Amino acid sequence: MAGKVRQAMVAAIQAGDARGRRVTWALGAVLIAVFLFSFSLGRYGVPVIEVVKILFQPLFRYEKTWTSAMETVVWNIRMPRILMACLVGCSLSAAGAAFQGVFQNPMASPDILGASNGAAFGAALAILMGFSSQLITVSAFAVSIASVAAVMFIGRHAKGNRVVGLVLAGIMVGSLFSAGTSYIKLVADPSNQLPQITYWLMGSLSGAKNADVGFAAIPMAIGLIPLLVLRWRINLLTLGDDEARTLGVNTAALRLVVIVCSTLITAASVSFSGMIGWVGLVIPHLCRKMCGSNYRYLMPASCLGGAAFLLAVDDISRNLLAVEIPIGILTAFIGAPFFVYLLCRKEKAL
Amino acid sequence: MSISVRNLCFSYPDHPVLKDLSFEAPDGVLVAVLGPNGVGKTTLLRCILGLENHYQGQIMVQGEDVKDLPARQLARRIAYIPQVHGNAFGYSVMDMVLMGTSPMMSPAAVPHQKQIDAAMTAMKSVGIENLKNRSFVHLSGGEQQLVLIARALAQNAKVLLMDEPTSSLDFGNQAMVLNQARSLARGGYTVLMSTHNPQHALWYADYALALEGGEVVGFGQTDKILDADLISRLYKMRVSMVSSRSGMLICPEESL
Amino acid sequence: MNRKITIALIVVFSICAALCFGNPVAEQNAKAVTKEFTDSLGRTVVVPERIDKVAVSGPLAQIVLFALCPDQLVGVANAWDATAQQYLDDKYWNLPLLGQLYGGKGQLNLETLLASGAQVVIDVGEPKKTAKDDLDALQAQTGITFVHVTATLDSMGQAYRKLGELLGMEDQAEKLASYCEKVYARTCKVASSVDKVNLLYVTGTEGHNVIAKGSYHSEVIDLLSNNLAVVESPSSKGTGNEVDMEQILKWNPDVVIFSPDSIFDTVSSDPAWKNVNAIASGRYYEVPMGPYNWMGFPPSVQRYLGMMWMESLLYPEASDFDLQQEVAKYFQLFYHCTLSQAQFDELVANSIGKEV
Repeated sequence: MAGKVRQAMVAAIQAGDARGRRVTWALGAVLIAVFLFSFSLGRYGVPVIEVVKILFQPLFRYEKTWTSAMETVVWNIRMPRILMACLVGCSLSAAGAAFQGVFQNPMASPDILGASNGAAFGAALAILMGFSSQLITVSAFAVSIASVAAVMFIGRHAKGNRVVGLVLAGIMVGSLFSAGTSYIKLVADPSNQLPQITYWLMGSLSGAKNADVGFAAIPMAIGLIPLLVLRWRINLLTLGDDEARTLGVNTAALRLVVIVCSTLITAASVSFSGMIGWVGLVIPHLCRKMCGSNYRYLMPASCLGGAAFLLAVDDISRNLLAVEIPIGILTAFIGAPFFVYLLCRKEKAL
Repeated sequence: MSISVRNLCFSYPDHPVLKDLSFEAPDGVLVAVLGPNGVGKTTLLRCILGLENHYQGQIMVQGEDVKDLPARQLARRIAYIPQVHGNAFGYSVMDMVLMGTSPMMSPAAVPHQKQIDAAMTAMKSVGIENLKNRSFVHLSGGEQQLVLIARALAQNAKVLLMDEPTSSLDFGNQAMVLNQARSLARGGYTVLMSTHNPQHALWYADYALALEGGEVVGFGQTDKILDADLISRLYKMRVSMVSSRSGMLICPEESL
Repeated sequence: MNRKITIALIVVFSICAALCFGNPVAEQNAKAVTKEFTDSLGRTVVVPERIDKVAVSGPLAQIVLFALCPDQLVGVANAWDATAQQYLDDKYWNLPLLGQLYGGKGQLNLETLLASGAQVVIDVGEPKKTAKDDLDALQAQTGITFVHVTATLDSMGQAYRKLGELLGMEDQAEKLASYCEKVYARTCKVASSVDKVNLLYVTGTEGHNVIAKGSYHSEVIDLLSNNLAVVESPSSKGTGNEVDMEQILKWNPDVVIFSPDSIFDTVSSDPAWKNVNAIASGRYYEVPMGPYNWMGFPPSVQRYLGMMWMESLLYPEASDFDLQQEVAKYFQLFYHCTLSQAQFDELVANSIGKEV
């Protein structure tokens, strides 16, 4: 066993993969550090020692030296919030990386096929109908999936380049749904529904509950596991259809699997968190810079980096001011300048 | 027979491209596909590679009908060496060559020692093992072409298809790549290469396949069939052949 | 490597899933004397006998509860308007901003809420369909009691009594309740006895938006006037329905009231508007603003000010009260301040007739 591991290590170094491996481990360590640190942050003062004791209480049965409110804060408010930030960040970032491979374009983002616009419409519609928050999530998820299905259907019937057809269909369906969302905002009741819709569209992890985390984790796991398992194959898709086919890849099937999985995790993310932009574009890019374009390392690095990034931004979102700052606004504040930077230094291949 | 094409017809919706095309390429030769622009050289390669399915006729590679083979099986028999192209993603040379090993791996696998060894062997055989950690997009055109050849070798297929491998290379790199193609043929590979330059065919190829108007107008050993008449017919220009110490030279005369 | 990643992922997701079903729930520590309270949604909750820390869910509740229990509020949902500073006591003006809830999510940071020590979070207004689920979920998550008290224009009195019962402030609540009921009854009586004037309520920076009849914000106008703005689909947005000048000329109202941010100041020199009956005759007014828009943004209890203002403005012979006295009384009751003559004059400067 040890010999085998050693052999694998040697092989990795031979392949010039040492960097990718190092970056992935480092990002994993960063994520764990941010994860633990996040528990000690909050507007409700809980001493760090109490946080640790509360977290490990189920294992070690410490004597209770903290108040019930502290326990509520750690388990019912911080825990779901932190886990949700990790899951959403990981999903959006992984989906962004995957879509960039499928569309052979490092500027692709998770909402390229209209998943976010669909989710926004679904959520706005559900709020307009006065549905409960669970149903808002379900509706956002369903419409998100439906909008991507529509894009795939149109893309299949489009003449010419399959990938361009998909992207154009994505733009079209996306704008259709965003027009629908605008209309709903117009007719929504201004004192209750409109602010709720607006707030939803800005993206926020506030109100995350433990049960939400459980429900979000299921579709995310179903989508993320195949993406991670097939990650090396995504490299071949970036070469373009013809070349990938001659390298023995069933491109239609692989692309379908990658798109379906990415859509699933994007839809699950946005339906729980609202519109959080930029994570899916910026994080895969940063990871590309750090560990290269090989999806063997890029995919896990994007997952870990996305989780750590969104968790850190959410920490700011819930701690900077007494009132919550919607996280979608913060990610845009960080993401948009970064995008400008990318545009301005295009001379070098990424 | 490595490649055998019988009665191949192919049309795009608006116009026919290949008309009743037949030829057979024996093992271990370099075949140059010649013809003017738009004659269907690339289409022929695409049909053989299984990228176009709506053709009539039969294409056999190593005794198997191309139409019957799934992409993975086909990729173990034919490797494609595309023209040098940009890629928005910055892969290392090693990453690029490793992609050639994909037909031998399960879809869920990542490359292991076996694949890395295969890639190293392939790189050594075209002499680029020192480039393995360089970024593909930062290489010169000639080096990139060699990387794509190494990728095809890592694929472990005995039939190689090259689409205009010299089109964007300088004089020296053209000669290097063509030499490489010829030595692969000497090493037992069957290489089918489309080219714009009949001189290249004359210097390097064992066989020439001349296409005009979607039909075969000449197929056979290069030195036997590729004469001034055929070249004049293909390219609509008068040429004369000049014998030199290093072979025949094709010299254009004034246009017809 | 692949297998390891798969296993790691499965472990992570199992932990997430386990959390969703097995998290420890904070127990209620019922050391203080408690009582049961049934809110307007029929939810029975246990609250301390003596509540001295109250949080509000939104601006509507903020206005209603500020009247009843300003000293119990731990913070405000929305920042006060700048005009409010002159009316409010400093200790109220400086109440911390907590943010508001929108359904399940919101600006309201749950930890800030817990840190504020609030014993109960009160939502006032018309209940959303999902209010019950939302409040139950928040209550389960934070361990703080959430209640909803329904209040509309005609049920404000009942709402105050309910809140009084919850907070153990029955006497103060009764004062406010009977005041609301008196004003509402008086207004209804006048409304049913007079010949209603043809009126438009105009908003927007161009003055091309109207609050249409039957819409969410038109309750007071519809009650006290003949709202000419009858449109096919009344928008419930605060800015109302957008219409063009031709339509306004066609309606040709006898009285126009403008929202505080609209074109009241310039309308008399506008050639198109000059042809409108109300402008020509000088019967156009601006809604008083302070500390909130009297006609209701948000549509909370301050609409009673709007009612009194419209009544005495449009039907002076039918109304039997002095507007200044009544407004001063309202400010005393609901904003806990003594309204000076100067303040009153400023409030109604554009609102009770302009020299033509």
